[in-house]
Amino acid sequence: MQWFLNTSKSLQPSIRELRLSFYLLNRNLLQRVSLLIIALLILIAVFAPWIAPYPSHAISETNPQDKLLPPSSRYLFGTDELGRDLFSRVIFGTRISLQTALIAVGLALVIGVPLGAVAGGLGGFADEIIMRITDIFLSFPPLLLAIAIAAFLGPSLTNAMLAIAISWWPWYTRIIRGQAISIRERQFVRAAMAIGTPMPRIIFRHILPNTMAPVIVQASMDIGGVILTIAALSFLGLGAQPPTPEWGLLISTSRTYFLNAWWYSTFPGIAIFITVLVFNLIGDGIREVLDPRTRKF
Amino acid sequence: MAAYFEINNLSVGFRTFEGIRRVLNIEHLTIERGETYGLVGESGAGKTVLALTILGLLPKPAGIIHSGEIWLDGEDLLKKSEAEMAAVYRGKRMAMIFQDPMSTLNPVFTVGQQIEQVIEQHERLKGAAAARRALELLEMVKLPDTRNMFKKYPHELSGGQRQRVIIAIALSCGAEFLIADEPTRNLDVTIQAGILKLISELQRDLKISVLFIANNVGLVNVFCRKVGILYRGKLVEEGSSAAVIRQPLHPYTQTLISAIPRSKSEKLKFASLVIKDEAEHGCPYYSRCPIGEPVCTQQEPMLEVLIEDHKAACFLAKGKLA
Repeated sequence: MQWFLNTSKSLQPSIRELRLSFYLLNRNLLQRVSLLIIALLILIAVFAPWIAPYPSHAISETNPQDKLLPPSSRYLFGTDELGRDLFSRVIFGTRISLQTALIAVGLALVIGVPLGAVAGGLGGFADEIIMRITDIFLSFPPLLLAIAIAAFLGPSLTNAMLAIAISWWPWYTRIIRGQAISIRERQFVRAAMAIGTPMPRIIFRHILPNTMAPVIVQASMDIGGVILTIAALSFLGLGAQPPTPEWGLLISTSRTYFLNAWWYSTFPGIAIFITVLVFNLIGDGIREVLDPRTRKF
Repeated sequence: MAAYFEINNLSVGFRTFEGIRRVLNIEHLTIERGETYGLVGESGAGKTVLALTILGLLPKPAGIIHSGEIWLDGEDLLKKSEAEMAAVYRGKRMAMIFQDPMSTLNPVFTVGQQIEQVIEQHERLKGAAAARRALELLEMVKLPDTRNMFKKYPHELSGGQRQRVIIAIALSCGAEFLIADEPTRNLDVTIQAGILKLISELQRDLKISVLFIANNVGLVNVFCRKVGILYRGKLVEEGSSAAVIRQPLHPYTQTLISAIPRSKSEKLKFASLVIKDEAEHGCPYYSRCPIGEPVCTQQEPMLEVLIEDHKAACFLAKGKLA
């Protein structure tokens, strides 16, 4: 690969690799559009208070005289049953969805990655124990497990995040363990042992950093799925609670007014659809680019 | 006085599907302080297994040490606990250079970081002091432009440069006993020479003992005083390198030596692969031996002193000399 980007010789190889990956991603039209939309979503999430025309509507301010108005120039996406601007609420929902998805995946990584590295790196008894625990978690359908945990912890957005992290980490443990087992057999691990490096240090300094690539891909692909799961939990009343403008919750409340106010469920639905779609597309793209066998120049 | 490094009756096996398979059977091997011992044998002879056994890194649970003693400076390594081996012996008292320089360094850290890590862990040096020591080590192995080298990742170095870095790491914590397992494999001939020169200079300057493992008799001859020829886990010939090369006694050693490429005019003699039936109780080399006789199938020849300081395990060589 070095010949390819000779101009950036002074950069660290990892950064060079990242730039190459980005370049390859950006060449595919579908993925470029996805990247643009993700960038847009992030901007919307960050600047939600400035973008939303009625920031106060995102929380609790109500205008009963304007309830359930169809989309108009005043209310782009119409209003809900309490007269709040749906456009503002969907925009604030972006912020909530991205934030919770990132935290949930991050939490799952924090639990799953070290466990996987220990299981794969140590092998033997520790491996058995950790992998049997992951097997228990993986034997439940993921959404059902998340529902059970969220119901157990009590309905709130924080608990929904926790529930997702708890039902999600075993996937990362599995991936990391598989990687760690193959890295463990590499010469430099043996060399580290030969120079007297203690096992914990070998696992976390030599094995772990070499196992991260596939898990990063998996995590970025999972963001879409996690956003969907959070929306599902909120829809079922186990996630965000009113008046939080969470997309799943918006759709859930809109069910009552579905026949008279089509806009109420449609716009949050489109928001979920687009977000999940672009994250899945970009996840596929990342996998393609990081795997040398499917990488196309 | 006992030798600095000594192996007695070492027997190592591997548990396999078909039962236990003995891979190493060394009755006696000694290395004096500051001496270089060359161990030569073909692939699968058990050279690397010996190296791993000495370090206590034999793959578990497959590898089993049946019996034996490995003495290093008056201590039996086989009696040490795993924790003691890791804390006291590996790295500090002995170190190993592995076969393939391309894969012995961790690809995600720079050369400098890797040396510093080992130093910080063993020598209680931190930050700048560790970095200074690491630079010294890089200079010791004669790498050019050490400050720049320090910041490079393994993939930016050539094979020879990497092997120098590996040698620096191996010697970073004051090991006095170095196991070099075919350190010049996968390297160009000119670079091989450079690495060999470096190892022999370091050996002389730091007064370390080296167990040099190779599959080429020619390499060993250059700087090992003593040579042992390993065949199927057994020493079949041992002596000063000059004597073994000049007058190889065991037919296996003779084939090894005739396989060294010399000049154009001389035709290479390859070991004939006339395979005879395995002799169950006899000489392990019988099935490939060009001069095997019925006596070789009866019992196994022992490693005996045939000429002064020159041992071989062969009935025919013994008969010829007697």
